[in-house]
Amino acid sequence: MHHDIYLAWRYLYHHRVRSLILVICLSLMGAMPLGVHEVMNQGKRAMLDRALQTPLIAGRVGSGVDLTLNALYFNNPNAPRTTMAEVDRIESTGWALALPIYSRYSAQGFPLIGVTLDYLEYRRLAVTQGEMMTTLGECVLGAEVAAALGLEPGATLMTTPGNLFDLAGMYPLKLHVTGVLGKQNSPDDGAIFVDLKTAWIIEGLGHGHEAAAKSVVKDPTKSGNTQMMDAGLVTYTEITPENLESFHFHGDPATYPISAVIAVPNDHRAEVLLRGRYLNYEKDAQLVAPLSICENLLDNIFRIRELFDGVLGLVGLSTLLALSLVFSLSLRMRRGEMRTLFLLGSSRFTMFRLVIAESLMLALSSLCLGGVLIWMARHWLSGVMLRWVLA
Amino acid sequence: MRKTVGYRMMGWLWLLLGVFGATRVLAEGAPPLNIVAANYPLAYFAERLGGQQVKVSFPVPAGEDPAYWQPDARTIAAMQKADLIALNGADFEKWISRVTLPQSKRIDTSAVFKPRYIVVKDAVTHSHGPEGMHSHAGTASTTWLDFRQAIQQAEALAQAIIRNRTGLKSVVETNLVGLIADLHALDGDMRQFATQLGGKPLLASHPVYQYLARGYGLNLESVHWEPEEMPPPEEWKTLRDKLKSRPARLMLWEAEPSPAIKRQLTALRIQPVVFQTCANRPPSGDFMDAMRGNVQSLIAAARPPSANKPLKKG
Amino acid sequence: MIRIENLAFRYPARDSGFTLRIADFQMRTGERLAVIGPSGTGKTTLLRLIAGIAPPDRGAIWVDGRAVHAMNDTARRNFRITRLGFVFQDLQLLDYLNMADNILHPYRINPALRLSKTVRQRLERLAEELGIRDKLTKPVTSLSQGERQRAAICRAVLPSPALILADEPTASLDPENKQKILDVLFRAVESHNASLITVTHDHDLIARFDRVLDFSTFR
Repeated sequence: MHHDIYLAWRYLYHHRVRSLILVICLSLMGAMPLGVHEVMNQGKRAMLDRALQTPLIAGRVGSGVDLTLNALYFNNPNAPRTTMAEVDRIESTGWALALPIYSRYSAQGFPLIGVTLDYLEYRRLAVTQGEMMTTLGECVLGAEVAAALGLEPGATLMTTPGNLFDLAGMYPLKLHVTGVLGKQNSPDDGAIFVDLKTAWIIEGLGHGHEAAAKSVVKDPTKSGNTQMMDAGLVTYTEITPENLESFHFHGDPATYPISAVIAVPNDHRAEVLLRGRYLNYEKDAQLVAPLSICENLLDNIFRIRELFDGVLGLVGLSTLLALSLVFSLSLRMRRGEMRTLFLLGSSRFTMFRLVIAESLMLALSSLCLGGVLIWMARHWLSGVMLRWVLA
Repeated sequence: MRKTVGYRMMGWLWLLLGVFGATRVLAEGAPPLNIVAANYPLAYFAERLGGQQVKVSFPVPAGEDPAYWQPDARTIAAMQKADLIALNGADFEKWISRVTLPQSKRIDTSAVFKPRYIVVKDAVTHSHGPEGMHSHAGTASTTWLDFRQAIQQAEALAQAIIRNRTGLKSVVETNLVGLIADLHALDGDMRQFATQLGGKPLLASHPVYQYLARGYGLNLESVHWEPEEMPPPEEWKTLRDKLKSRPARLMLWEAEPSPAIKRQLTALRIQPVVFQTCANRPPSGDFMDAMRGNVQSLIAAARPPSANKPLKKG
Repeated sequence: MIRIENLAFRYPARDSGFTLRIADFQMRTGERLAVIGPSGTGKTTLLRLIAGIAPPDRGAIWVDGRAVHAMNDTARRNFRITRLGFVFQDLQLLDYLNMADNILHPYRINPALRLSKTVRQRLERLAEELGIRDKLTKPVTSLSQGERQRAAICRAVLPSPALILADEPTASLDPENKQKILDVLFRAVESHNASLITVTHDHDLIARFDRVLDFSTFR
């Protein structure tokens, strides 16, 4: 047996270019359909995992798919917004934990997500470097953001202005990085998290009165002890310990904007009750289940997998036919060798064994190479499917 | 009176039962529930409700007004790790909109009577104490001085503790009954004072008694005076002018005014009465001791002078 | 060593239909026999019949006391690989093996021969004798014709056969190398005390043989 393997190895090595081509063809033939399936399955798993971890999402009435994808993947900063009244609505039932998220802004090309600390706790996002944010103007970075931007706790980064001509609206804000979150292999790794109130500061719903804190003057037009604030409304680009106390918000917080609310029901009964309650709000709000939204979306998208399978099947068949032709031609060319074996005293079965040994070695090499290719696809292309779905 | 005594006795009975129950639960070995309170009344309520099953933190330094205190990063980080953050609400915690705390762990104890918050307008910006310049404009926040509201706040806190740790339900409910009984007694005493006063005008040195006034129908008007700072002459003049239309004979102070102020008040036939708000921990005793002292001081001050004279011999 | 009686082998019709007939032939052990004659007279066929590569249509062949004509395919193969050494006209070396692997090839393709450390040591000695020891690891495609001839001879001699059959071992060599190859062949035969039958067209070489069998008389 080992002689067969040795002779097979010598033959394949002598014709190594041809052997390599055969191995590559065979491995691609096997790896391509499996690799495509694996990438698709990985993408599907990743998407469904995220959806499984998100029981319900409430938001403005409209496309449930857009609401879901934006809440899970932060992929649409211009998605329709709802308000904090939605959070109050859910919390008032006592049936679910309400986790508001606001994903309108970005910084340095990464989504800037306004959340409460409950969101970070729910997603098990813990700080592995530095500390959790404690005040306005601070942020924590997802692991990928920190690596990509080369930022550590103590660094600063500027938010991206939404509109240079929106004088009454959003202002770029210099954020202070307090910590970096541990890697989760989820979309949270690619996000920058701020307190929801910091996002509202960027929106212009809150501001500081640095100058006003220093100049309280007596209103000359009024008698008595009437005081007047100096009208020093300042558009702050940075929140510091010195000016922090001057920051405040106006208006009813229930009207403040958010992108969506993740609702975590206390139990199944609470979930059913909440979903029933939301049927009454169908004109202005919706409550969706991300898992079914994503499953339906993926079922529609992955119908293309059947087309892939058909095409790959045809390609595989033609490759197999071509390889068979090469194989038979190769055997014909080795008639002289077969004759030598016979003349030297070997049986006809010996040649058959040698060919089998060569084929097995080629097949084994192809399996190994195919396995490597599938591993590479799984490792490096797993995000491709997800990005394609979200694009 | 008898009703008040009855409430007090019930309160003591329930307190004893609560301690007994708490001790039994402690024997099971569960770690204490970590509660951070934004003011002293809530810290007191939490301690009464949870006993040894809770570990209550009140991070405001002594002598500082919790309403104008700003927590530092370390304190905020400690609050983030707490199991429950007891807030007064009614805009008491001015710092709340500037810090990052988990929403699910916060309990706004006065949210239940939010529609009945008192909004203060036209307030003056001034400075006293370490907190610096501030104003009392906005929402009046000393909600616990209306003892029925204090009961509601205690109930909200109790429910939050039970929601957080259902195993403490029996202990907390038992202790709540005792606490409510004590607060009821205070409420009863305050009503007695209000009856005694009969609608006569009252003064307050500082605009912090809004809920006390509303809750017990007191004809109260406030100035902005500090116990240790002699008001300027024009403010005395203003007071004298006010007394012409509102002849108040009692003036509530958060702390004992200076002898000089007392002398001037006495000249105006105004008796200063110390009524500690207990937003922070009192110098001695606890919340209930301080409130009982407050109410008894009011009752004593409101008694007709003849009632205080010793009986003639013979 | 060899005895042939009433041998007849008919070529297929497509190959001329010629019938090789040998009525009686004997060869003694250790004899060096040269087989000469025109092309197409059956010289190579005789070697193949003796080696058992093809069975005769009629007659008997005894080699070293064994009835080759009566053996089945497996027995003839085992007999060929263990008792005979064949140096083919076109050498039959495999391009994808080096010289050592070509020489050891019979040991790898038939379980009747066992490749052991002793065999490898014998290969080293034989290669030394034949002057090709330093070429053992070279691919055969890089060897000269004379080196390839020696490799083929080494392969034939390594199993210590009783009979060596060489089919035109000096073809396409210059006269000097022809003599050298023949010297190598004779030395190997002598050192293993084997018999030798060589088919050759070189009349210059036949004088060195013990006997000459002229196939031109068999027509």
